[in-house]
Amino acid sequence: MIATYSVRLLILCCASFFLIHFALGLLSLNLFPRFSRTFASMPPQWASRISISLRLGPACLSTLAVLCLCLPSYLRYEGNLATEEVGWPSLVLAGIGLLICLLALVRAASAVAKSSALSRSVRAAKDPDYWYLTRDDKAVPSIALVGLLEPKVVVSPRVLQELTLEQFQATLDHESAHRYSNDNLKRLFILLAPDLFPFVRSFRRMEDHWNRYSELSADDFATRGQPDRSIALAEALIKLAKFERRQSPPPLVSGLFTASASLTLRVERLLRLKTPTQPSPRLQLLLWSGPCLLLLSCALLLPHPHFVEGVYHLLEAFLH
Amino acid sequence: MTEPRRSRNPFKLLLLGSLEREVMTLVSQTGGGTVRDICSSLSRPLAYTTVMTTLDRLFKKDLLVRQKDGRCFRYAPRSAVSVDPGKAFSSSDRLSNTPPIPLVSYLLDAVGTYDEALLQELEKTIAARRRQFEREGKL
Repeated sequence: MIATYSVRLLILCCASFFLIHFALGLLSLNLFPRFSRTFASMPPQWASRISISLRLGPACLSTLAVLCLCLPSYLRYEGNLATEEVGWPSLVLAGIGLLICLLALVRAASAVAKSSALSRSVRAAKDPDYWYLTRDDKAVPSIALVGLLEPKVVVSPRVLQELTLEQFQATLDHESAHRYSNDNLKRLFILLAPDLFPFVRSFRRMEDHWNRYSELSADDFATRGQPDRSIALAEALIKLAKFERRQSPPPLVSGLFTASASLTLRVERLLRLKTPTQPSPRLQLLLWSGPCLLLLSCALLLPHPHFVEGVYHLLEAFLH
Repeated sequence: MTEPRRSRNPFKLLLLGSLEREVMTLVSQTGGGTVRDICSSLSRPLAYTTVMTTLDRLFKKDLLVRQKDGRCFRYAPRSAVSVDPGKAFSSSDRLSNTPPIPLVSYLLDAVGTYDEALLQELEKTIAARRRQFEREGKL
């Protein structure tokens, strides 16, 4: 009896998750082009924030909806009826929901395992500093941020030979920006967020945009709008691109977007010395008001027993 | 001598961006040329490096062929490919077979794919900008 009760609960949660996630995912995919048109005119930090919010939003909100609505309503109103049947459409949706979550988990676990292995292989010892030289030149690219919770910048000895002190400082500052904004952790959350359907990377464009704008944001942090730093970082990028292309591709590297386009965009941007403008007050208001309204409506509706009961009846109808 | 084909994904032929479509149409109409030729034939002013990157991308997608002409490449349409750029899909996010995002941040992405000519061109641009900043007393 407990087993059937739990199985029904699992089916309900998975199917609800899939449906809510699908609806929110479609909304997010529709909203994204509207936002991305304004990305060029706003600071890259904001563009990356919007991209990652739209990417993670559907997964976070669907999980919240299942945990705060579906689960409590079922536990509160569902009796232990062992004979209750489950309709096949909800079974199919639950299967897809479970599969997309499992795939996301496997993807994230695999990336964590690879990242940990890489971190162990290049880290010589516990180092209090935020960067250190690696002994193995081939383990990672010339300069990279490795680790999730306490990321460190790993530098190949070759970098110190190739770059001037000014260029090296600019590259270190760039990686520090990734460190301060916890970009490796954000990558993990992106991997943990399921796709709309199994085996289809529906949100890839958002991930690409986040990746690109987080790089530009790190460039801005490293240069701070100063010409000498901009030139130094641009020179370092070209030197490292020449240096790295002679090496074999490192582990965990994936071609998320054309490397040449990224490099060209970044160098041209660094040389323009354009001071980024803040997003318009209207857009800022829109960005902040959305999550605030959602939290407020949740806080008002959730304690209401009729609302939870209504959700239960809706789920019951869906389950059968 | 024409370089060997690189791209192995046939779907990439259909995934063109707006600039790629524009450049592809121009190359199909004019029969191709160097990056500078194509830059000057475009209806709107675009940076040399932007056009170079676009052409390189089209070459990697197997839509163009290129031959070394002195220090630069001469691009031409691949006659065997009959893709109508106007009908090509613009969204590149529909099909994906890339591995997941790594949990490591790199200064440069996807190493090993930079074009020598592109790097030389960027290096020249940086050197020119450095000289300009030095003249202006910014450095």
